[in-house]
Amino acid sequence: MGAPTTYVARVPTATTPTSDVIEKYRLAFQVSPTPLLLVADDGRIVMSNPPLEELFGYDAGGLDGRRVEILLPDSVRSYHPELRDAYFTLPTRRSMGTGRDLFGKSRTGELIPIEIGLDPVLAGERKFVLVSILDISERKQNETKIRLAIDAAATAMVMADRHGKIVLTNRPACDLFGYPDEELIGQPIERLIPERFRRRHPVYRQSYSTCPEPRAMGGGRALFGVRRDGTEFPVEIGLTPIESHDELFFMSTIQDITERRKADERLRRQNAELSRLNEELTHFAYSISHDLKAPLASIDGLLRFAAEDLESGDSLDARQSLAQASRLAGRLATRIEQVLSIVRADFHDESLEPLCVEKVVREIWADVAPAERAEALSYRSDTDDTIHTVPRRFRTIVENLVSNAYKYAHADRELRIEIRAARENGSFTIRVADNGIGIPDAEHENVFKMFTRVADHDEPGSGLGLALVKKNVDKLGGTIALTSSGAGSRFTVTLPRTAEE
Amino acid sequence: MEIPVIVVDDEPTDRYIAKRVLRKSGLSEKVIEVESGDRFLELIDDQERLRRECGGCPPPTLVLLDINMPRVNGFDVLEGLKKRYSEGDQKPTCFVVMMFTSSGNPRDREQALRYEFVKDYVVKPLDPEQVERIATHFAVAEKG
Repeated sequence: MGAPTTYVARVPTATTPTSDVIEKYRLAFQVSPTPLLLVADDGRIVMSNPPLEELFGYDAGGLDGRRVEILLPDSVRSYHPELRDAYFTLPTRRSMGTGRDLFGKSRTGELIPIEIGLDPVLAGERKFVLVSILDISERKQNETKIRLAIDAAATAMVMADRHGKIVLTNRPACDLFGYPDEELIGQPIERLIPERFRRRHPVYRQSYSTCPEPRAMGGGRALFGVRRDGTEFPVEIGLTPIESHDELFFMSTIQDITERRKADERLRRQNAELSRLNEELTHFAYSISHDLKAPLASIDGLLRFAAEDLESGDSLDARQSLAQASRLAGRLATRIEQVLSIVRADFHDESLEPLCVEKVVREIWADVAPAERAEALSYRSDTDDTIHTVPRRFRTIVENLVSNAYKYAHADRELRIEIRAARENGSFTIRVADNGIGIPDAEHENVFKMFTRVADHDEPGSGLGLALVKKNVDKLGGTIALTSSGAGSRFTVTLPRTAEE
Repeated sequence: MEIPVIVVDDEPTDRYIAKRVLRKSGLSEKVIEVESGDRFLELIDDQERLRRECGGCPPPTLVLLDINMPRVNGFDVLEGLKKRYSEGDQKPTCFVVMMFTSSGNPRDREQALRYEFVKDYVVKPLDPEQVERIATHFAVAEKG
């Protein structure tokens, strides 16, 4: 902002009588379109012209003899005399308050944005100052409009000059980078860039200014901004060169893409999860069809035998084959039921109910083992063993662990199953330990996967039982651990404390 | 001449079915049942025991090998056999392996037939036509 064009007076010599000087000015004042004031070194207004009186809302001559502070905003009034005195000790021709926004105050108290030019006038012993005033209300209004517009933009904007010095920021930019308004003005643009990229940036800047054209910054590189507090965030930046008054500026529009990055990441994870599920489903379908087909094939074989046997009148053999087929059909039914359980495990009613663990264990054991083996299982609880859980899931877990312990008993040992309930740091733990055939170390990892069978047995397992246990433990937010040796297996299920507990 | 057949299958019913089909069709009376892949590999590593189990019968021996078995499955067994064949010096006996499985999956079939000692891929249950095929392999094995 340069000084307004002022009415330049012929600087009078010190010997001219004061009143003469003033009279010379009076005529000029009357014809000047610029608002003018002549102020004496004691701060009193000697003369004002009509444009000035009009601007400030005073009658003709209404300001004569008043202190110039009457035209100033209240906030400036108290210290202005001091500035004024300072000026008169070394009067020069200059504009007032360089770089600051200046305001005048009208008679009605309205603030008027102005620019002020000062010209010293010496008349004999007295010093005066000729004050010319430029009303910049309209310009300010336009600036405000533009300011409001760029502040209202959704994107952060930062404009820098060709030396990389920030000349303009908008509200979103200050918010995005965490700076108070205007604090960035005059700062190098590198301040907004993480430390590790700062050194290179001026080089990029210079090469851009050799052929400036609107484009995205970074050429595909991941870009980061850094906030005032030092935190970084991913950004996307558009660059536009702006030429104004023969000067080249660069406008960057900056977008915080943290959320988009997160969404991308989420999408990528979901995709991975989907293809994993898809693969699992393929495996599942394949294994299921195979697993269900195998007993069917056997049943088919046995039925053909029975037919042959009946034809040759061998009814004893036929009966054996049929009994065998029927047993396999039963096993097949169980297997299908298990598969359905696994599928259904995703859709259980998840409402929690109080459950007495000992009661559940006893009921299950009664179903699994014949009455004469009842003593093989012992139950001990270190805690109040009523838990709040999804009954169906908990039952499935205990049922499979207990029936495995029973099924894979060691031929040479009298079966012992020890079940122990405990509570630790609020978590509920149930441990099922047996003295059965155990599970080889190499299989510990696989044993919870679907269709993994590890034991030789007259009644081959489905490879689904422990997978079902794992799935239900997972659904209850718990964990399951296995330790096993030739002396038996021990499964420990830990369930988190539920809200009801 | 009696040719021994080894049936490797974890499912007792399927071993029973194979045994009976082989007997009834008059193909072989000498059926050795092995209930797991690892036991089978143990058996062929123990020539002494193998000869004993075969009742002194000479090779070649025919193997009906299931695929879906716990721990060491049919493909693991094939890898084990390949390793033993390539090591050469202690070639167990001249095996003719036939896969014997309920898996009709073409991928399984393709994978199995890639081994040169796998001569056929039979889908359960055994039927007369398949027994015919087994008989052909027997004939070839006898000549070889």
